[in-house]
Parts: sequence; C-alpha cells; structure tokens
Amino acid sequence: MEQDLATLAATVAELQAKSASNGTMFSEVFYYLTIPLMVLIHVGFLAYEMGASRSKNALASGIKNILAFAMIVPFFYYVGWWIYWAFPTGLSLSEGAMGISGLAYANEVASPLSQYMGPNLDDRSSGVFWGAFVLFAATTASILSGGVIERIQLIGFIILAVVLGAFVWILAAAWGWHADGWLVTQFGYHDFGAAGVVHMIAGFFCLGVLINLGPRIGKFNADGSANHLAGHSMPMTLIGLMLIIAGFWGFLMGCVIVPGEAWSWSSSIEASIYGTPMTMSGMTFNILMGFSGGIIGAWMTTRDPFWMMSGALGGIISCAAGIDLWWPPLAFVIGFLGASAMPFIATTVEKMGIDDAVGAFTVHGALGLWGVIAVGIVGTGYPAMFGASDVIEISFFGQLLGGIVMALLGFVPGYVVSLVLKVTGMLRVPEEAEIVGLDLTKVPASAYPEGIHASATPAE
Amino acid sequence: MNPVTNGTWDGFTGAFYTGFGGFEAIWLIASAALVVIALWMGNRHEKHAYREVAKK
Repeated sequence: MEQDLATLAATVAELQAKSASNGTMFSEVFYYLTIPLMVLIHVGFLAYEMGASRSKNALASGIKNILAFAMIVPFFYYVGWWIYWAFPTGLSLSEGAMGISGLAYANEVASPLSQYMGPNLDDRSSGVFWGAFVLFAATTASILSGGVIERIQLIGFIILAVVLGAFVWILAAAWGWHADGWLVTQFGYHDFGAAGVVHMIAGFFCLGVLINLGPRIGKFNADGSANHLAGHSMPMTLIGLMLIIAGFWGFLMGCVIVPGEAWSWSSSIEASIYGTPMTMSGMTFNILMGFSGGIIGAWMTTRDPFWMMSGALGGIISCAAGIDLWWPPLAFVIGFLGASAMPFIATTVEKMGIDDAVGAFTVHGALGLWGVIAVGIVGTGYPAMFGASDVIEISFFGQLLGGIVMALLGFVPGYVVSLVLKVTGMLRVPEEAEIVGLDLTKVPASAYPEGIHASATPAE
Repeated sequence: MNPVTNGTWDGFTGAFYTGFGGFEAIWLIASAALVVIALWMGNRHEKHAYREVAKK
C-alpha cells in the first residue's frame, strides 16, 4: 500500500512537472509568435510607404523604414525596456504598489547588464516580452515614417525614430500601460490595445515633426490650396495596408497576458496588461467588427481605396482601447464613426498647411484619441484593475486626462527634437535633391531600372 | 451582480460587456442602420457616376 502511494505521488509529481513545462512552453511560444506576426506590420508599412512615394523616392522611403526598425532594436535593449520598468509611478523612480516598478526593480530585470537580458535557463519570458515590446516600438517609428516621406534627411529621421521608439512611447506605456502606471492606479486609465500609448503617441509626435519639417515641394500653391501628390503604386500601398491589418492580430495578441505562469494575473483566464480578465475570443469579435466598420465608414465618405484601407486601420485603432470590453455591434459603430471622420480630419490638417503624406496623424493620432475617449463615454464604471474591492474605475475624466497626457507626451518631444534638428541642418533634404529625387541622389540602386510604363490602352 | 455594480472583477464569470443586459439591440440596430446608410449612399454614388459617364 505504501509503495502504491509512493508510486502514485511520483506519477502525480511527474504529471505536474509536465503540465507546468507545457504551460510555460505555451506562454513562451505565444509571445514568440506575436513577433513574426508583428513583423507583418513592418512588411506592410514598407510596401505602403514605398507605394505612397513617387517613383523617384521609392527606395529612399524603403531604406528609411527598414533602418528605423533596425535602429530601434539596440536602443530598446540599451534603455527602452529599462524605462518601462523604472518610470510607471512618474519620474520619481519609486516603486509602485505592485512591486514591479521603480529603479531597483528596473535595474534587476531590465538593465542591459541584467542576467535576465540574455540566455538564462531560469527565465523563459523576458526575451519574448522584450521582443514583443520592440515590435510595438518599431510600430511607432513606422507610423512616423509614413508622414514624413520624400523630404526628410535619413539621419534626422533615425534620431527622431529612436527618440520616439526607445524613449517617448515606452514612457507613455510605463504611465498608462503598466499595472503600476500612475494614470492607471490614480485615474483608472484603460487602454487595452494601445490606442493612446502607441497610436496617439506616434501620431502626435509625427504632427510635431511635420510642423518643423514643412510640406513637400509642390504640395501647396501660393494661395494655400493643396495639390494631391499621388504615390507611384496604389496597389502596393493597398497590399501594404492589408499586411498591417494582418500584423495587428499579433499586436493585439501581444497585449494579452496569458494565464498560469508565475508572472500571470490569473491561473485560469487571459487578462489585460492591467490584470482585468478578458478573452481572446471576445477580442476577436471586436477586432473584426471594428475592421469592418472602419472600411465601410471610410468607403461611405471617400470612395477612395487608400482611405478605405486606412479606414480598416482606423476602425481597429478606434476600438483598440476598449477592445476587451465592447459589445461587437458597438465596436462596429465606434470603428465606423472614427473612420468616416478621417477624411474630414485630414482635410483640416491640410488646410493648416501641414503635409501629412499618408494621414499618419489622422489615422493614428486623431483616431487613437477617439478610441481613448470612447472608452470614457461607454466604458465608465468598469473596474480598471484587478483586485477584490475598492478597485479604481474607468471614468470619462480618466480617459480624457489620459488622452491629453498622450497628446502632449507625443507632440512636445516630436516638436522640440525636430526643431533642434532643423536648426542644426539635419532635418530636411536640400531642395535640389528633393526635386531630382532621393533615389537618384543617394541610393545605389534603382527601383525600376527598366522604367515604369504607362497603362496600356483599354482592351475594348 | 456584475463587475460594475460590484466594483471588482473578482469572482465574476459569464458574459459582460458595454451595454450588457439592455442595450444590445440598440447597438445592433445602430450598426445595421449604418450599413444600410452606407449601402444606400454607395448605390447613389455609383448610379451618379454611371450617369456622368453616359452624358460624356
């Protein structure tokens, strides 16, 4: 009998070890897979921006996009990840109530000299979490990249991309996308899918840069009216936008905290980054409904395939902050309303003399703000964090405050850094290079060495 | 009993979302209405475009 019990205990222990190993392996693979899915966002941005550029600038736009991604990786390793864990409570470097923030914690887990920042057989999460955050960071740089095509110097752009991707957005994430974040713990700020901390930050940063960068030559006439500078390949742009949509599934997957691990919020159910329970199944309803509402809304107001695909992005971004909470038809309505407003916002920006080449501010900045505010309008009263009682609630004021903080935190660094670059002659390409084209000026390759032929006559 | 009235998600299971228990039909109708409006306007735009081509 005793031998049977011992055998049983050994079997149970073995099964528990296998189960735990499977669970850990699942969580590791889960975040690992968000990374190639999010790389699709960058495949998309690459195609989107090259297509939206005139053929004389196609490769220069591509180089800019590729290099932004590459430059952010080391800087996010050096400092970005550390910022996320160091600054949630503000700028004081103090530890928050959860005990997962502050100077000492950041130094332990996220300093580039930390034992967790490399191969470690006792740590199967840091690398994949860091990787997912790198891809979020690279997304912010790609958002900026689209708005400034065809006239920004490469070095100026790289500096701006690193500032945005390795410093600014991750500070916003520490404040509003961390369980110790002061916007969350003190004001109940809810931003599940990073409408504020990624999209608003990047969109408003881009707006600040565009003011100093100025419009492309030929964009505006002497009387202030605007010309449409068509990109050289709308099909490439449309495919790029659809690839960004595909990558969004990885992006939103990366916003989920899986259950069952020592660092999980729950042993049984997925959670938001704030610890509130959610399901990926529920999120799926809302992603697709927001996507659909965005396309249909943009189609209704523009008939333009560029804006329709931007509407798909805009619809998801409009829903992103509360994508764990919406009733799916409401997600459709929120996405529809946001996307249908896009062309009017873009026209307003243009009337202000700002040349946002691909609508980066409109789609990411303005609709990110709409998404954050929408949570305050219809999501008020929900517990914003996990906890048994006295949990701070989502409120309109908290969302409004969060939106204002994200707008300022994005805009001010973008404006100031680009102003410094402008003064030091590192922001804008020379006029003659812009006229000749950036590919011919500095790229040792040709996008279309055999030329681009005009469309054939209609078959009929 | 739900997370909003309880002030916590702890112990809660089942369905809950914005508009739960009373507003589902409103948002459902609103979303369908927007689809219908978009289709109506889209059809109007298309017919107009065909008429313009015919005039030319």
